[in-house]
Amino acid sequence: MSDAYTTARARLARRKAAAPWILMLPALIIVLIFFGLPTAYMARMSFNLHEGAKLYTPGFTFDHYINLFSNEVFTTAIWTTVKLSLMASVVTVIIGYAFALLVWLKPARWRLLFVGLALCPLLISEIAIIFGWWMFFPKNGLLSFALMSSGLITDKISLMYTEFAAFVGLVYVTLPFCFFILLSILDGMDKRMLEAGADLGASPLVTFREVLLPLTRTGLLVAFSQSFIWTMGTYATPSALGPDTLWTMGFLIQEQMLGRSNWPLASALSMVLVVGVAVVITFTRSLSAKRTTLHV
Amino acid sequence: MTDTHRPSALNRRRFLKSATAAIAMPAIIGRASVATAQTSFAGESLIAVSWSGNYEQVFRETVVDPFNAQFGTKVETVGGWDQITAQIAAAPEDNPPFDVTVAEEYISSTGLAGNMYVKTNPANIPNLEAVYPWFYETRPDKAKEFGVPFGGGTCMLMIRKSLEIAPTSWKLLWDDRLAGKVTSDASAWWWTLSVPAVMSKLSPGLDEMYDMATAEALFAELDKLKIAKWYSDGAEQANILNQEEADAAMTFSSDAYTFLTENPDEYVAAVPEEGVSAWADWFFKVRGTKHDALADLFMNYLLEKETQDRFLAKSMIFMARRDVTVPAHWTGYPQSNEDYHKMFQILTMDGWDMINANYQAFDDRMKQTVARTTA
Repeated sequence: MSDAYTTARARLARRKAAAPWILMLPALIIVLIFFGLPTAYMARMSFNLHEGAKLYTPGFTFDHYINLFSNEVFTTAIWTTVKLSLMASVVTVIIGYAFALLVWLKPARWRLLFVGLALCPLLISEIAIIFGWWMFFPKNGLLSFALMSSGLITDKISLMYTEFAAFVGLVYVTLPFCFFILLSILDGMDKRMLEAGADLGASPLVTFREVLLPLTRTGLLVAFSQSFIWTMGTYATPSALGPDTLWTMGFLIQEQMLGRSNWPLASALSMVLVVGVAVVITFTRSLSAKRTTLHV
Repeated sequence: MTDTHRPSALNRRRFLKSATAAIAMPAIIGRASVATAQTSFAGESLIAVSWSGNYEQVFRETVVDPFNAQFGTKVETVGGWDQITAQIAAAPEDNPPFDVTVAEEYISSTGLAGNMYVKTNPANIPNLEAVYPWFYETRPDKAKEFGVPFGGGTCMLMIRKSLEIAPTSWKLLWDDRLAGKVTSDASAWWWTLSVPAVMSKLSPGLDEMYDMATAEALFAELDKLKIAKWYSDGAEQANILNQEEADAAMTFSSDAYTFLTENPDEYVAAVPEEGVSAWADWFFKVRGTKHDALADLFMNYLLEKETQDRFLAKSMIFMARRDVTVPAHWTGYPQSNEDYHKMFQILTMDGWDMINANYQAFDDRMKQTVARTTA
């Protein structure tokens, strides 16, 4: 009897231990097949050789990684990409947060309009958006025309092919994602908390700092991560709007992969990109986890 | 060079060739005589890659649609460029993403190095008889058994008409009148590098640009350009010109045709007196295709006089056949094999092999040029 009981308990314990894995299994299989295997293949490809006109030659070398960190073109591109992505992500999160707050605080009748506005960029391809900016930034573009017409400037100006144009383009592409993440976080909160803060004598600024910001911190970190991932990998927008010398990692990956047919070097660049993004995501997650622990 | 393929009166050799071609006809179409080919392939599909952009549209209108109308087939064309060999390499060897593909010298080189193409049986392509030998004379032996030539494109000089500067010489790109108003390709930079190579008389053809040691002098010439903005694709080039950021461009024949037909009063383009760098468009049968016979029929159709005439009428490329009807917009079209050699300096497959061996150095040096010439 005792043995049977022990066996049954042991079986139950095993089942309990296995339950999360069984529940996770379908998702885990999908992640492994669609993300794990390609990443592993890419990692392996980055160590292959590249000879002549062949896409790659099976082998093992660290040359591509050495090249990445010794060639000024690549090191500059890595730094440029990180800098541009960080700046664009921070600004995107700030604008997205303000926009999401506005929508959250406005009466429901305004909500549909604002959400529709935020959806617009998602309904248009990145290439079409680029063409739009091409009509907006040049000296014969809408911006120059508007500034001239309003009397703010006397000569036509062109912001086309500047780092500013690339920056604006990146913010525009990632803003909707940021906005919807933050709006979903805000929607999960009770607006009466703001009233409670006011009732207790807190100014709007204090309520924001002590109530709203801590409660939306995780959302902010997720929005930042999402924006950072997106901007790190995007190459068409900065390439089409930025100056000639704005070489980002995404641009160099496509150049090596397609223009040069150097798959190993393109893979090595991609691995650096993946690792860089993973480090930032891990860092932001660790910040998020700390806060959750404090709350608990 | 002597043109050994000029039409001549019927002699024994010509008679034998004709007889051979007639006997080989059933093989050309795989399973039927010419008379019944129209129904033999009805409903069969085939995917042919052509260059993306205007070329793809013209290819569809002048080659694919008439072919389907004649044979009842379901041939499709999709646009491609630098991803062609990557797509073939990524697909299973017995299930390629397309059956026939266009390729210039670089894609020919990459594809042949990766064993991606199938040898051509000349008996299946009787129209090869009408092709300028230039196409084979500028090809290394290792490549001659693969594919069929269709035509080729060139770099061209294009200038805004209102400036009243005729595009007679590549030197104009360095002219003070166009300072800060020039655009050129920084993505396919080898074509930009080929401009000073064409102008230089130190080496035959484009030989000077294949070796980094001799190419440095060419890069030094490019460093002196006063560029408004480098472009990376046709759309960007069009935007730079349309927004009047630049007034002159090192452009390509297919782009030039679009500019000239859509804005005939805005631009003037021509082959400068020094000649032009060029590439040849070959069509290859891709390994693992399940439409082998139809691919042969299609490749032979590419070389029909009517097909070549139709394509030429809507483009500024040069064609493979000797007897094409030259449209009015193509002034100075080459009339002989010698003309092909004189006018077109091809970036050869052997040249590509040399560039590829030291590609990163070339690419890094070009990026220096871009940095030095950007305003």
